[in-house]
Amino acid sequence: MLLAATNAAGSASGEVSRETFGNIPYGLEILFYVLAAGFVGLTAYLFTIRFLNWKRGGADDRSGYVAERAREFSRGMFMKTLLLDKRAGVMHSLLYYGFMVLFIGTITLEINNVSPVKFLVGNTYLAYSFILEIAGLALIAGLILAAARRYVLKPYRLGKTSPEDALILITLLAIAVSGFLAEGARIAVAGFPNFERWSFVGWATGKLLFSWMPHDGVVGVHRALWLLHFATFLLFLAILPITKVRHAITSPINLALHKRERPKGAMRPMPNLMEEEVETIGASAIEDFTWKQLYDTDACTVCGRCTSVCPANGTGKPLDPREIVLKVGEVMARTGGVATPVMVDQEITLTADTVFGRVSSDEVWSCTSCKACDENCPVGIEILDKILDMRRYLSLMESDFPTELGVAYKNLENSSNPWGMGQQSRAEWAEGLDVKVIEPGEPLESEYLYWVGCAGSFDDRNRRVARSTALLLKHAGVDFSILGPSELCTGDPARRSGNEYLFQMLAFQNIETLNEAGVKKVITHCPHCFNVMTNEYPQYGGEYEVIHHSELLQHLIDEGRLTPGDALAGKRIVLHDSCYLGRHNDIYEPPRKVVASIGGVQVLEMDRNRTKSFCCGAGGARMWMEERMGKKINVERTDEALGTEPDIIAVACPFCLVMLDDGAKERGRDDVKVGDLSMLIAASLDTGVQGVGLPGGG
Amino acid sequence: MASWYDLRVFCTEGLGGNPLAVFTEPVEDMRATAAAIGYSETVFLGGEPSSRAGVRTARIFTPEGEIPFAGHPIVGAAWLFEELAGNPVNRLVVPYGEIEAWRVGDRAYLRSEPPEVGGASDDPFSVVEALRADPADLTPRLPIARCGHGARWTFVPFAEPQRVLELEPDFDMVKGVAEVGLYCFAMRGDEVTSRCFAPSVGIAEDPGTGSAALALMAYLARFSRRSPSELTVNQTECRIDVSMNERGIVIGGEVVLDGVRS
Repeated sequence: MLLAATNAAGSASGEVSRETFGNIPYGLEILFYVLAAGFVGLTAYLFTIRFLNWKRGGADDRSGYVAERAREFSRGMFMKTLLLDKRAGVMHSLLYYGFMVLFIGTITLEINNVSPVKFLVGNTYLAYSFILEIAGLALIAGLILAAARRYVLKPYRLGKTSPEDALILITLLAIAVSGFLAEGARIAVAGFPNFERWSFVGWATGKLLFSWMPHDGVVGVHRALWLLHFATFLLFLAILPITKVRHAITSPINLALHKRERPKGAMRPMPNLMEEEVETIGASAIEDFTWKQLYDTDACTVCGRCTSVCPANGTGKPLDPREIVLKVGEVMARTGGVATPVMVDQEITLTADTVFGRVSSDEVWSCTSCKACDENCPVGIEILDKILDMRRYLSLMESDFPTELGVAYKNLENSSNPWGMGQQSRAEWAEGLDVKVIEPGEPLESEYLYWVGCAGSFDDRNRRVARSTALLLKHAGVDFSILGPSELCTGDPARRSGNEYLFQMLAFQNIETLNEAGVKKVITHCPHCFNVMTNEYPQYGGEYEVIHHSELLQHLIDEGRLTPGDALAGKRIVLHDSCYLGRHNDIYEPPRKVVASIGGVQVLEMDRNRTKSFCCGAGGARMWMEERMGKKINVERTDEALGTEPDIIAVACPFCLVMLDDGAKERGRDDVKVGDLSMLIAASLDTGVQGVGLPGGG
Repeated sequence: MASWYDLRVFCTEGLGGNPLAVFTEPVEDMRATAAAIGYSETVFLGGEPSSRAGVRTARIFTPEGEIPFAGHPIVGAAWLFEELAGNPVNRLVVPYGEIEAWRVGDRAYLRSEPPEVGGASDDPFSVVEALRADPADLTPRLPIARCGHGARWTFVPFAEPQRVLELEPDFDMVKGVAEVGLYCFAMRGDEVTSRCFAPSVGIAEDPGTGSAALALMAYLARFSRRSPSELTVNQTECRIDVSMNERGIVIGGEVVLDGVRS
């Protein structure tokens, strides 16, 4: 069908087949080749312009992991990531597979044309014809569904609709419809030979529209329709690089490039700022981004899945992750000099030649770094990296950050913890629990170091987590010590808010302490400490085996070294996923198994769980900033949790504990307790030990 | 005399605590033995009353005679069982009934249902007079009231911890006004400062009274606006942890074994 034509009588030999360029004068055939070559050249040229723009970015090594990249590429080609949303997936599969089969079918036809041995004959031809009919129908069905979604159903996440969307849909529809019309005319010109019934749509079209025409008339109509069909394809070639339809090519490649040479939870490493002078930090001008961060923007399908799962966007903050991607792309295009791509929205005005000409600092500071956008992007765009690099610029180059964050910075500088508490009181939480504290300069003699974190050390609610964890470890016979006053903040809040200097200052001190003490294995109950120590300390010479307490508790329970009690029997417990445990480190099941191991409890799930889990609102140093815009994220999440009618909300992160507990209090639900996993296990044992288990009893 | 274990219950990092004598072998005259040792309480452990593992009987004597229930003897006995045999006890059967008791590290605990609060009312004036205190030192937020398992303690709430520490009661008068004894206390957050005077049962001042700390929690749950779920009771040289949840009230503390005597 596509670009296909045949002469009136089938092949010259009378075989079941068709003659390519049948009924098409030689002059038109030459024009076909010239224009096709010309437009392919144009497409290549337009892509080259984009390529030159991507090249403006800095280095980003994506050369390793060849097998993983190949697998991701094929996942992209076969719509695996897209089908995570069933409705959109089915629509898009019809459209995509339909188009691809037609495209490959046309190329096959051309190969058959130039090949000395003709293979599209007999039954092969009939099967070929039939398959292409099905593909054409699939394409039209997909287009109708796509149009229905965009113009009638309007699901929330699609968000903005631009003339570009109509242009793409109309072009594709024109290709499909003109193809069937040309085919109908072709069959009519051939006098409806019986075997062409296999091209059932074309047959029916021919019968319906052209069977009444005199033969000469049909010959003319066929030529016109053939030209129209060809023209629609040329239009497609022209819009391919300059509209979002380019994602057909860029997205699978982006998925292949997605696997990074650093762990998922790690931010982009920076040189040692204590020793090296750097001119600029973070990303502001297009040249500050990496080539991959720029390439990403051309792989975006504008589907809005990122925005639909963004906790900031969902609660009325100015951040829209899709807009971040598109805005970086727009700025890249508008500042491209000679290489400015076509089809850039001319309405957009830049107030500066940097990304901050389009992106406001409020957008950047609204991010909780929960990574829901990255994890739900079907084409592997790395949005969080861009935002965090922009934060690095705002924080260190412009000092443009919320004032409250300045207080946390000062506390980190002066007291080595964001609360600004005296370091000497760091081990006070362990009172009466007989926990070994390593003195400065002494080696670690226990098997594990328990890294308590600032929250567990200084925050009243979280001291209960540290006490519960320590009690359970002792109960299970785990040999551990703590650093006490020589433990400093890991630097997570500094790094996630862009203050790389402060992060490195703290990180280097901690790594020195840990290495001096000969620490190999670390236990921590804080997912933020866990993430930084697991994924980022290796960037600066700190290599440890770090285990989150959820994994350790599960292990101890599995081994029978820890047996949860039944003091919580009958309770309904809903689990809230921590972003830095789940999306940043793929730890989803251990917390669930730990909660489920408690005797007689009912474990509940919220609708938004695992990769789609909704952040508590404290990540990315948001813990230390005021939330002035929109609904409070923690209240939104608490409302969702309360919707499951729980007795207890289980968390596995100190910040989630504070945020959801505050949320429950704000809703006046003192009857619902919020507790860390360790608190729940301790509460199930009902030990009577002070400051352990759930506050206010079981 | 048979050999006995010399313990201190409700210690603070090895120091202080309320002395306790524990006999694990049968003793002929328990009352005389307890009087001879002279500790506020002496506990005599029996064998397992049934085939149920971890259940033991215990009888508790003051120098004056047997009592149905007391906190520090049960906590001390539960601690000692694991110390001796590595054989944890879950329950102790005392004349009052079956009490859940267990050890966690260097601490031991017991659980009990909350005792009933109230009943007979005390004459506040004679209580204050017996304590030789200024009526203005009492807090108006809480009443003088009785609470306890079996024998009931009289709770006397003070506003300032310092006033409690300075008390010099008239013990003869205390005998006259108290059913068992007067438990004087003041609160700072979840920290309690207390002293307990029980001359009528032969103990002028008890160094650490578990049963009263337990009853205090029930008393606070009834009368305090901000009923806490955890308390730390500092009574003379003793430190008692108290907590309450749906399953009952738990008291406990650190236990130290000073040796075996005979």
